[in-house]
Amino acid sequence: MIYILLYGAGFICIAYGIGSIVLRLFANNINNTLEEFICSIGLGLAVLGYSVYITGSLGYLYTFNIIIMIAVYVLISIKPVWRLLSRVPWGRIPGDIVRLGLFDKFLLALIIFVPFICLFGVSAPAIGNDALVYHLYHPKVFIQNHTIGHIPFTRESLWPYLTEMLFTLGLMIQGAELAKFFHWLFGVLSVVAVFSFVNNFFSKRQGLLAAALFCLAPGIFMQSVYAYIDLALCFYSFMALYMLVSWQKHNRTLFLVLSAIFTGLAMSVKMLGGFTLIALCTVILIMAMRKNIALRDIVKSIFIFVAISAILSAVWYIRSYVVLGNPVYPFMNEIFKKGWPTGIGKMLGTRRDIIGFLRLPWDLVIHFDRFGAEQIGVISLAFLPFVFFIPLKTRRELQCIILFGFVNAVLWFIVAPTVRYLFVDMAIVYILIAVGFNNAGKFIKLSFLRILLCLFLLFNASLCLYYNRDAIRLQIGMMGKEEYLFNKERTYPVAEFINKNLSENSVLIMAGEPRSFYFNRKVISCDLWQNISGKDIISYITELKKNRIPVYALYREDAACNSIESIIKGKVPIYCIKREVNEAKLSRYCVFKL
Amino acid sequence: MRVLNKIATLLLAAWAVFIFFIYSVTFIVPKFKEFISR
Repeated sequence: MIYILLYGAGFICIAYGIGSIVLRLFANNINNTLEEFICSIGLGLAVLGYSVYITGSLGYLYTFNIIIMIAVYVLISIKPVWRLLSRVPWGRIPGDIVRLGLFDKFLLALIIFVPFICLFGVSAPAIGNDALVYHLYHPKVFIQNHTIGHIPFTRESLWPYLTEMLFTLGLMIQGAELAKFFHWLFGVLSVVAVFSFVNNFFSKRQGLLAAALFCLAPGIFMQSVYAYIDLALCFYSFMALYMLVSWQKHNRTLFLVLSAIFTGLAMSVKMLGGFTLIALCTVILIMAMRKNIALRDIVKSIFIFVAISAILSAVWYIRSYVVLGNPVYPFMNEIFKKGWPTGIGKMLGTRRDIIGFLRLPWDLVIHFDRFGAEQIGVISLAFLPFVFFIPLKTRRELQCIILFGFVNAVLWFIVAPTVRYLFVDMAIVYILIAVGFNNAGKFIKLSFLRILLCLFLLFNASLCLYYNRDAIRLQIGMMGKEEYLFNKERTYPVAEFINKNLSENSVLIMAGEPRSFYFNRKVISCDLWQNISGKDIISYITELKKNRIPVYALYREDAACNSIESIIKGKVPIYCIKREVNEAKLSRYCVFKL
Repeated sequence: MRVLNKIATLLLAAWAVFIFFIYSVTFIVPKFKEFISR
């Protein structure tokens, strides 16, 4: 864990340093040091990601080149980091903390405690479905190939991969743990951004409460220990909103440009970053119309906004269009005639109508398992009535964030209602609760409700400990890495067998199991191969065997790959194991020589 | 006015406790049972 912290601290300094230089290219001063710090780190991480992408696209993805690149960045980061360190009033911070009230000290302690506990999870070996299917597996393939580009017979390898570029960097420098650290960092940055926003527009006390509520939402701290990308999307989307609200308040074009840049980065992290673009354009339009601004100026602002966002994120979508003929492959296959119907979001949520939308605050808390199993947190519903205490009429900032949150939630509800795609709206809900809670103090006595809120927060903190219990046992030496992975990752034992017993040039056809990260052999998914090529996998197996390449099949008993089923019929497996695939559901994994 | 404020506080607290009760029945109790059975 100490190594991860050291590497992480180094990358934070580098990201700040280069981000600060980029920021200074078009902004001499923004509101305050904290705001400048978050903007710089956000920009710096994007520069790091794009640098890895450019190096990889040119086919120069070698450890030596990456180390040279980092060395250059270290050199140019020294001055900005030194300038920041000399600007921070270190002597005043302990006094400020001592002067905080008991409730605020409690909140601050929780804000430090929860990310610290999550660091145990970050330092443990990688687990999590999507992380092992592509967020980490594809960077591993990029490193092996020394190039970043399309990986044949995959559907995700040409998606917007800005965060995966940081994972690639992490894997090259240290391993999966450093890659996970980058996602954790985006989570921490999101918490700091929430604090900074509320501190800027309301007060420090409200900022601490909003940051604590957001930080202690189970969905947030749980996600931060996985190599996923949703916290990066949340951070860039929230920063885009933050800068747009600043633009509304200060009327400086700089903030509009920064908002557009962060929107472009959100779109470079995930296709769903497009929701941020649509929601922010709606905010610009409606707020300008309320101010009676001339139509020409509104169109100009929206044009600048969309153009900057599009330029920053275009590379991901253009390369997908050039290589695969569909910028959002495999989605929208009806329009681009490439891809296939994925049924994204069809199985999620409860009812998909207006009543279902209005019921969301209840369903997301009580029936969270129908929205992808991440939890928004019980506080969001238990303390939701405080939203009625917000000074909505007098505060334009609140109007902006509510409008953004509403448009984003509608799009999310229609397309893909999974909780982790809605993290930015979670931040907005918790900001509204924090502002409302503080404002309610003008009308009612809060002491009892504060105690109740503390109990809720303590419950969430105990959930954080519960979910990270095995990672903590691993880090303090009560459990070995092998035992941890054997208990936590269903593919680990079979991957170990394959890595130890199959020749290096073997090809493994996976039927019913998409997780590939722990396999050190060439892996092809049966379903994907058939979907993409439109042919039967048997023709591919025959071709491999003709070229004398050893072919094996990893068959999971509930797989839906009839071709593999017909080949392995009557064959004796060379390895078999039963693993838990879903909660309490066991499935048999068998390896066959084809 | 004071009585109204007290009622409002009580209602807000009662709502929070009610939600926590529902959440316990749907999430905490099954999780706890699973934890014990392991």
